[in-house]
Amino acid sequence: MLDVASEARQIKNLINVKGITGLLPQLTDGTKLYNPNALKEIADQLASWSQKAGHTDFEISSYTILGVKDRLKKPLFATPLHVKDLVYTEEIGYPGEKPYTRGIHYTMYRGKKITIRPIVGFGTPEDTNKRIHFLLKSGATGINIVFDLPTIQEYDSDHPFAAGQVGLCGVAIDSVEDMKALFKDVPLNELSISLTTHYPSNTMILMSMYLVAAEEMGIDLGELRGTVQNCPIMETVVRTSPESLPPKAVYKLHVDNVEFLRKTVPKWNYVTYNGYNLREAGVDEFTEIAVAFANAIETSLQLMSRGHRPDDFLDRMAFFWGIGNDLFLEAARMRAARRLWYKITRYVLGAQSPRSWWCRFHVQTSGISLTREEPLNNIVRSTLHALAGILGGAQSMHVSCYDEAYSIPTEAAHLLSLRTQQIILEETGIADVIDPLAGSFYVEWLTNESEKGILSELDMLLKGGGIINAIEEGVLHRIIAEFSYKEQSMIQEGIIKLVGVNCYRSDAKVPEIDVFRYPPDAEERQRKKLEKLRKERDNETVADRLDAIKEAATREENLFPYVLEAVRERATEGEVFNVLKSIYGVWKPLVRI
Amino acid sequence: MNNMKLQELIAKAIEGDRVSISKIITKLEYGDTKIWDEFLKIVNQQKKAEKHHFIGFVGPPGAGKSTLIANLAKNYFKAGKVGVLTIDPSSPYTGGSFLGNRIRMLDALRGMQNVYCRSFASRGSLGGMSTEAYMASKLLSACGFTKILLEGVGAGHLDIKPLLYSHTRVIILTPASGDYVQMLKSGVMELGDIYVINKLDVGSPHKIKQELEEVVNLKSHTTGWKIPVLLTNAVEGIGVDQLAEAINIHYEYLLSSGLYNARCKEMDMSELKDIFISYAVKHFEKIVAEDSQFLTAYRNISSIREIVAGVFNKIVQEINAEKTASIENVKVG
Amino acid sequence: MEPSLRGVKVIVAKLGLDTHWKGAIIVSYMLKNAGADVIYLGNSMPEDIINTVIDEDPHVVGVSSLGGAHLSLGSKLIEQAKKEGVFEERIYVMGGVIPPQDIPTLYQLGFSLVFGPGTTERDIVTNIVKKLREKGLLTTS
Repeated sequence: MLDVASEARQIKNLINVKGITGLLPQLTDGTKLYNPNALKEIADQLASWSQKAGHTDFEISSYTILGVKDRLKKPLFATPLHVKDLVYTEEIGYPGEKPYTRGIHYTMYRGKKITIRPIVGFGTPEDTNKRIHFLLKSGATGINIVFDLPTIQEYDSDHPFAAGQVGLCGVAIDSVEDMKALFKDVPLNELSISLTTHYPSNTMILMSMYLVAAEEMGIDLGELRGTVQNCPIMETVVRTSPESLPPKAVYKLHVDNVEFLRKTVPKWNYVTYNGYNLREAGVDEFTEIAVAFANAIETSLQLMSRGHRPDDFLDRMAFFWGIGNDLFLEAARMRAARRLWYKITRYVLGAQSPRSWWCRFHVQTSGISLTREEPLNNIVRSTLHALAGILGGAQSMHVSCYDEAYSIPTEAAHLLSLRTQQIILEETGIADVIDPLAGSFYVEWLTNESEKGILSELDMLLKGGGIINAIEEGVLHRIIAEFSYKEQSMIQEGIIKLVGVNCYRSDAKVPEIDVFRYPPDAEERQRKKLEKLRKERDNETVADRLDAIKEAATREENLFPYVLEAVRERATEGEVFNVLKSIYGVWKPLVRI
Repeated sequence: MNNMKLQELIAKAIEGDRVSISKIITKLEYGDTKIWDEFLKIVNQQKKAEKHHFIGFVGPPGAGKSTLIANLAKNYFKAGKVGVLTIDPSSPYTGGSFLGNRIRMLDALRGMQNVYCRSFASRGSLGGMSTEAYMASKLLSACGFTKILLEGVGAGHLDIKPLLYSHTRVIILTPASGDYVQMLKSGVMELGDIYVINKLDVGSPHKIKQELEEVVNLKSHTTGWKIPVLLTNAVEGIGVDQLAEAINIHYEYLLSSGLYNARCKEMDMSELKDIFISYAVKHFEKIVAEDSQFLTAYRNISSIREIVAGVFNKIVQEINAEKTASIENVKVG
Repeated sequence: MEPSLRGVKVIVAKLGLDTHWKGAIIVSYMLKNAGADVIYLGNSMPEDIINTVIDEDPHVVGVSSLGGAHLSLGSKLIEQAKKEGVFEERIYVMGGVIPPQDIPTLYQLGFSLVFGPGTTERDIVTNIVKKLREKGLLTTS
């Protein structure tokens, strides 16, 4: 019996050589769904239909934004022949049971309503606190906090890099005091709170602040429910920054976060793998899922190297997909993702508990797909995206607001996003039946194609070095750069159609939409708070706690508890980031076009 | 631009004015070949800096050249003025280029007043480095830059110019065995003075080091220089001190063995050859395109010697005419 | 005749902390396809950009701003350029999400061109060529 760290090494070597496909089991010979005689009849009839129809373009690609485009040839119409070997019990199954194609819970939306989790964050914490209360009153059952650029990039609001950017596009958080102001009078133990802490490094800092704030509000950490993003791909690939930590350091902090949160905040989802932001940067439906899975596999192997068994940590892993325009493909690939993640966790990582096999995901409807021109059209787009998400079985959803291309949303736009989901869920009867698209020849075919597509990307990424190596060599950057440029050309040439932009352009006056005005002088207010903070705290203790982080790093310990103690003494985010930079150095990605 | 202005600029450059250095290099790169004459004359007149040291680095993309060079410039070559010239390939179709090395050195070189860093496109020149880049390094050495680090791209036999224009030739690989095989195939192995295997956590670095050492030991026996094969991890700064030491030791070796002058001669020969080729190619295309007699003669299998002589004569005519012609763009590609 | 940027050196940088790099890379692609030599700096503060301008002496300095820093950091950029004596003899160009009411200010500060989102490849290249020619910075025809 190998110890779990050796197992991890072995698995990594196997993946290097065989990829993931080589490690998955072949389907057992279950009973095929379709009667071979019926299939033959159909095949014969199809042949004569083709002659009568004289149709040459039986296969065609769809050109959608962020779509697979030429990589997928769709049939003019689907027949059982497209899924002739379908074995219902092995490939589709039942909700809440392997292979989870139909959903991870027994009763899905009937039992557990989809969490309506709108995004909020702008100005100072006090400003955002007001909007949080508004959303809660309007029916939101979860909240998703977004931070401003200086906070995301880990600079304090008074840092020269932050000039002119404080409180725009997100809320400014510099210290625990800000975190407490953000959640003033918000019942953290009764809600699910998502902190969009993109990176592992800022997750460690901001989550520490959140935990200290909760403690000081008298809340037991065991009661806290929510999510942090903590995605290594965000820090090393999707986002650019003046100063990034090197990929290996980023993964180390990522695993530190998972390890610590798992133990200390048991109801907290410690990661949502991208997903969404990667897709928006410029990859298609298959690459999005492949990269997220590659990430999750790498993390799992690192946790196993630290002695944790897969069943100890897989049950809280979660993913975060974007939803684009190709409605059926979006729903189908979510089914494929569930089926594939089950196979990977069970047969590659060796997890034995069913909870470890669930592919849980939050979705956000695509922002890039929305246009500046005729912004009210975006309500229609987002509605279709939301529909795809529900048909695909997402656990929680954010619907992008129609003024996405202008600014962060106004209250009215925000409300409409909530209502979109509520209307679909409450008025249409769609959520009363689980996985309603199952059995459609087209959707089952799309599900199979999606699984194949994702697997081939996954093999490409993991064979011969793993995901960290792929990041260091610039493989992902190159994929994004080429994809984006090609897509831009296709839009300019009109191959990808955007209504109101490159087709059906209208000169008619469009209704003026109300654009959000940022509260003035957020930067000034934060600056004053920082001055006060630095005066009132015990600077010697802060310095000691910051040094302790450095020392813990040399001993290769988990840094989270040390960061937590530092922020407890009111160390600021920028100060902790400085320590991380001094430990790990800074890194720039290899971008070549 | 007239001689006076160029002379003024060079005088200012020698005093240390960076903006002047940059302007001169721009004229060299984007101006026209006419100023090369004046430029070389003036530069060669300058009191030579103590024997300058050109160090060339080649290796496949992603091998870590930029990181190593930045580290060397920042931590080990602090004493004097250091020039860093990086070269990226020009697109053969559009002529454009993406010069992506500087961004990777930005953090390391921030605030280093003694380091001058410039990015070049290869401009379709054979060997992956334009003559202008070599001229720029001459300018820098005339301005008191004692160490010039030249970074090339690619490891194939086509991209070895940065080595030909250097006293000390460094070849960088990663342990991915693909790099090593490419190296062997390309014949670049003939040229290296120092080998570096970067990134120790991928593939089998020690195995590659061993194999490489066997290969280079054969060569070492014929010269007085024992070619080192070093292991580094540039991102974490491991082994860079050894690389710096090896580079300095090689420099001492060149001086003490008298090989330094031989190398300088090789470098100038390479430069002269490249200048010749760039003139020839530039004019060739124009001449053969405009005058069909050469192509016709060639296709009728007339005397090759006569055809070549004929083209050369025309080239000479054109070059002489250049003196009086108006400014023209020198780009070959 | 297709407008060409052969023989033109461009710096492309992102002003401020904005995290998206796709747009800047797409523009870099466009410029490279038009024949330019493009130096991509990623997120950079005005000082770093100008230090690069000093060493690289580009014809065009292009910055993109999506995070709201166009006025604060944009003016710092021009200020620093003038201080180091590298404002003249090249053009400074701004792109990104710029509120229309701020565009005249940017021109006053010294930016020669301001591009909004969705500007086509053709328009970017054509306008840069035009401005370079106006300032006598294009040596080729």
